[in-house]
Amino acid sequence: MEFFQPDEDALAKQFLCDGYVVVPAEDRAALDRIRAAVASEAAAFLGIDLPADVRAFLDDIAPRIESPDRLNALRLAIIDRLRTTAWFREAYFATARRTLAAIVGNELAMQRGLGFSIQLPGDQSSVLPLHSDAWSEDSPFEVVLWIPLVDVARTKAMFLLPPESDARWRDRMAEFSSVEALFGAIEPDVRYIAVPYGHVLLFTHTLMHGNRTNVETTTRWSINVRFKGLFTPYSDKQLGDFFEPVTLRPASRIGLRYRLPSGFDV
Amino acid sequence: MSERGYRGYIGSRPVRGSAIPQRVQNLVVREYAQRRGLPFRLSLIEYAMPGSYMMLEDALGELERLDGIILYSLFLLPDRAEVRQRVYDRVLAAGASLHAALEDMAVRTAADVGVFEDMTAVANALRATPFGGRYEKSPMPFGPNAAALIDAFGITP
Repeated sequence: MEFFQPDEDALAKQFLCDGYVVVPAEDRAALDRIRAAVASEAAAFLGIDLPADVRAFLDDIAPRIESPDRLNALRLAIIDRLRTTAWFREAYFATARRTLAAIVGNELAMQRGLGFSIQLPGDQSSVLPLHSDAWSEDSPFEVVLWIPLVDVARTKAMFLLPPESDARWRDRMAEFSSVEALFGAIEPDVRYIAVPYGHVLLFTHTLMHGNRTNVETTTRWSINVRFKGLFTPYSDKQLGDFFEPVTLRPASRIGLRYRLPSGFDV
Repeated sequence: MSERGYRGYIGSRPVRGSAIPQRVQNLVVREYAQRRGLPFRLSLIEYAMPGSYMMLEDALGELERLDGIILYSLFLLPDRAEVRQRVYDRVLAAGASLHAALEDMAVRTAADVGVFEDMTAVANALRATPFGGRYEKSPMPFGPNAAALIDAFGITP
């Protein structure tokens, strides 16, 4: 018996094999709207009019950012803008609704906040060391929807250790005394995931991943938000403070509130 | 700015299985109030006895002198849905609001109650899902019987 549609099955096999999928944004208008909001906030922060070529503006922003403090202030301003933009979360979800359903399920919990990264060329202050989110506060039942606002490839992208290598190196992890030593060992196996603008990346954060100093000539802009099955096990990032239900289905709604007839114990 | 303000409300019992120091609960409540420019009034601390909501009752009793109540977490509210509903009703009838600092949520109108209740209902249901809805960071994250359960479902890793 085969209960999955062929396209769902293919996507699932690819995800299990590679630990990630890169697919075209399902709602391109939603993605463009998010990018426009980010670019507009960045222009306002810099005190300039938004240039007509948004992609070039984002790619080539580095000369306009004088210091790491200024970069962090810009990053926080954009996070604040997106967090307080009423349509942002729906738009973000809309970029991968069917892909999330195929990989995770259709009754979902979504991260309440968001992660936002601006990685200037040569900037070492934004490097995210090698890690697996399952090693800290996250449940291995989560996935990350990672969306770049510019084309990313090579060191401008994030890297991921493929599942087979990840399993092998995870078993040997205790042999290493530092993260950098571990990275040195796994580096030949890591894969930098190219994602053209207009596509989204969905990956399991159980795999070792991170980024390195961006040695390309343009700046990386990316957003990440976690999703998980609403009724799958949580770790320290719990329903309520970190996740919220976004697609609670009617049958669950009825079941959650159902009470058996009472009064038989008098 | 209103002179009435928002009463903090923190607990003495574990919140969803975790003991949170009252000082930490107070920091979360104060930070929530500060971030929103809500005038903060000293927190009431619920008693440790299971089932006690005497301090919450006191906070509800002074609603006519308050703009609202800021709970450390929405999971400090009573377990029974009908009792929680009475809390929402009293807050809204007083023209006040009920905030959950940790979850960054608020009930300002009757329409907001459903969001609080969905969150509470799902969190309560998680206790009855496989593995109690909790992934433990340990060599046996799903407990000693997990292998048999996984085997019973025919799940191959």
